[in-house]
Amino acid sequence: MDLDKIYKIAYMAALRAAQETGDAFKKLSWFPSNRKVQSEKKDVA
Amino acid sequence: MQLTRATKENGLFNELEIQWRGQLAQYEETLEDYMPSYIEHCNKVLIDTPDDYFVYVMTNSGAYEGFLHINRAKIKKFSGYTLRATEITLAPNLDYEAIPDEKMFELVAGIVTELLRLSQGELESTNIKIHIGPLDKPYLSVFAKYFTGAGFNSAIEGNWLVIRKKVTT
Repeated sequence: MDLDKIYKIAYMAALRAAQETGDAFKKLSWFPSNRKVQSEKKDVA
Repeated sequence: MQLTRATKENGLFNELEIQWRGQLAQYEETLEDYMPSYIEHCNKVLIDTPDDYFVYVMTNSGAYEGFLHINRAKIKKFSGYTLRATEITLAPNLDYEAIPDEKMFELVAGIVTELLRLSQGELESTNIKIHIGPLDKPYLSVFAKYFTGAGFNSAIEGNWLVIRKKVTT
């Protein structure tokens, strides 16, 4: 597998997903502060 | 960005902790508040050194941009070995600062490409699964739709983004 090619496909997929979903990528659980907000929402509910 | 295995001997996770504590000090936060329970879990893995569960750090020109956990195992309904990536956690400066969109695309592309690289070498595997939670699904389900190439395809299956390499016979 050509990893440079795969990176380019992945980058374009990441870009196109952002174009379709707005700022959804900013809400990924990979950011601990987003996890905290979600956990606080659960506590309130 | 490169994924490098953290071990007790190379001290990479310790270096990551030091760097992240420095970043968090600017926001008057502690690492314990930033990622409660994660530090203990990571350090346990580094001490116990299981042969199927690892901590990998995301390095980029001296910056520790994140870390993740990887389990390599044979699992039901999948041929060959599967890498399962969980606990993906990005650095405080990426979390607290407004980073350019392009940086996020680089991180997403970097993580999946690096996992595929590992699956070709030190963690040889046929499949890759990336754990996704409710926060991740809206974005990564669309990502999966477009992330397909000659030698692999991807799809959302339950709480996982699954990348299957096409096996040539």
